[in-house]
Amino acid sequence: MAAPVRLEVENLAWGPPGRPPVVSGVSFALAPGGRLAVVGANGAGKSSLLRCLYRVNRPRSGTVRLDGDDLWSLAPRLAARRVAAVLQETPPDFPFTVREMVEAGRTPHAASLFAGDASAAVVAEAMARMEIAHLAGRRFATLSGGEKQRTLIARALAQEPGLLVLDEPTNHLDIRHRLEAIRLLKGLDLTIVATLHDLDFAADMADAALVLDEGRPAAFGPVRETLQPDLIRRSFGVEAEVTSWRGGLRFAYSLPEDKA
Amino acid sequence: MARADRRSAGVGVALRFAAVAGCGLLLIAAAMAASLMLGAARIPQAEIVAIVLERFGLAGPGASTPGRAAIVWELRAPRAVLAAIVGAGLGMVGAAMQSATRNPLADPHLLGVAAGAAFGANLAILHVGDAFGPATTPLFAFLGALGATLTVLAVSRATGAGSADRLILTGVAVAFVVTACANMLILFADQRSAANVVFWTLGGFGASDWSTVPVPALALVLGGAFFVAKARDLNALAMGDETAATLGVEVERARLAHMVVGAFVTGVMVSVSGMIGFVGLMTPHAARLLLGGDNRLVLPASALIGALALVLADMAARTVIAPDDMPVGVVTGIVGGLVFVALLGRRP
Repeated sequence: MAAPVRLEVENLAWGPPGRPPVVSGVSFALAPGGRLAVVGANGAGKSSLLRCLYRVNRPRSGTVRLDGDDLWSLAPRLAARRVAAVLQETPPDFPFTVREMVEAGRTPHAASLFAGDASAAVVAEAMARMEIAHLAGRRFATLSGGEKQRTLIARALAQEPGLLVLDEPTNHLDIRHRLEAIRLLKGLDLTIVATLHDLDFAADMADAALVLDEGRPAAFGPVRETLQPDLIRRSFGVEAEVTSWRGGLRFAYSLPEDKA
Repeated sequence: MARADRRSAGVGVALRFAAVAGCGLLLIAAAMAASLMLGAARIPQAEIVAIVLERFGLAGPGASTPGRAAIVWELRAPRAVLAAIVGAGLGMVGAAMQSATRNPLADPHLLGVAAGAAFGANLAILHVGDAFGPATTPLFAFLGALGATLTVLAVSRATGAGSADRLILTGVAVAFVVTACANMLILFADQRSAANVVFWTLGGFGASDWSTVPVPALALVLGGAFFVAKARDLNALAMGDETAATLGVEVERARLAHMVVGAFVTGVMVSVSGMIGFVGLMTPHAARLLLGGDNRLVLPASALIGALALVLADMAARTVIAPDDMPVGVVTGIVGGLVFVALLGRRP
């Protein structure tokens, strides 16, 4: 496994061609092994920001640096060896097995058509890590939501990245699988950036939070200090009560207009 | 798929690749041997074997009469070989196109290939005649396919349509225009020669001789080498555009390359065989039902299944209304459709 990278984002802006920017003025830095939760209301630009980190959206201005190297001046294959992503994109009904899905993670490393032993070992380790080795021959489409998510994370791990980007990794998972996903992510020795709708899980998973509000950063800092009722009211338009619970945070919400 | 899954669990891709290739080549060899025996002139098996061995310099001459040797070697053999090459090309291109566009209904004739080839063939058959000898129709068909594909690419570039869906829609739009023009050629032509157009359009190998073999063979080898070398990229593209990008694939460029190479290979195949539907659409699905989704296996398997299917279809085409040939496109349509329905029934 590659070493976790230092991620530095400076004054990043992106928007579709010919339109006003969807995200702008985003700056933050993560130390190697840091875990960042990107939160914000629907349409705040979370996914657009993430796409800049996994090289789908080319920033209009600003830079993304991995250990000091500009992400967008790397060759695509080299970039894919340093940044992996777990996306919400649903694969179509081509009958890939779990092993084939995870093996695809070796694409940026592949020198020949057939994998060498070293590559096969990486795939096997990624599957063991995500506890899906017993599913290797199953068709991906027949898996449960939790198993699918673990397979996609295993594929990302097979890339041996230093930065892992996840778009709503707990979506469509039941309570137990969410908790398990969070624990798995916390156990990885990687720099992690994830969008999370659920602030409870954001606080569980991350040590830093970036709050986006209409494409602009509303706050960035340690989770505990950042996710405060004031900020939640401004960014999400809800009243929030924040309590400490078993070392994490728990949030209760109400609509401001319902306030008695 | 439980059986295939268990098989795949322990066995490496390279080993399965070899197994697939071995089985496929054996079946195709058997089908081609059967094809050599089939025909109006009844020639004993031993004599056919002797004729083939003689051609490869493995046996002395004199085992057969020159007339019978010509029937086997100059008429039946190139026909079987060409059917195998065209089937392999269509099957493989179909598999590549489906993965590259992430569309299980994609077909080798996407990007206007079918319409362009028809236009070129109509022009040759109805208005040009044999100006360049017997190669006139194939040449025009290929140039038509090439022209239509280039038009699709130019239009998609002009409209900024980079996604798979937009590219396919552009192909459909251009195909409609080109097909209308091809029909206009029929309208303004001598109606007696219009029957030849129908015959060409339905596809067949009746006019094959050894001189028609090298160009499609070369297209198959070059196209096959390209697709198999890029099989990992095709897998990534089949998993989604953004996923492919995160795996280091330059999505739009890679997709375009696959579709253009596919269109060229298809253009060559169509030019020698006419329009043969269903093989390119169906064989990749059959390959995936047997082997799963990995294009390192699906591409060669689709080629082999396609070759086998067309050799058998051509045999059927020669038999059903013997001594006349039925257009092989009719056979692939009917048989292919029924086989496909049967395969769907097996699907869990």
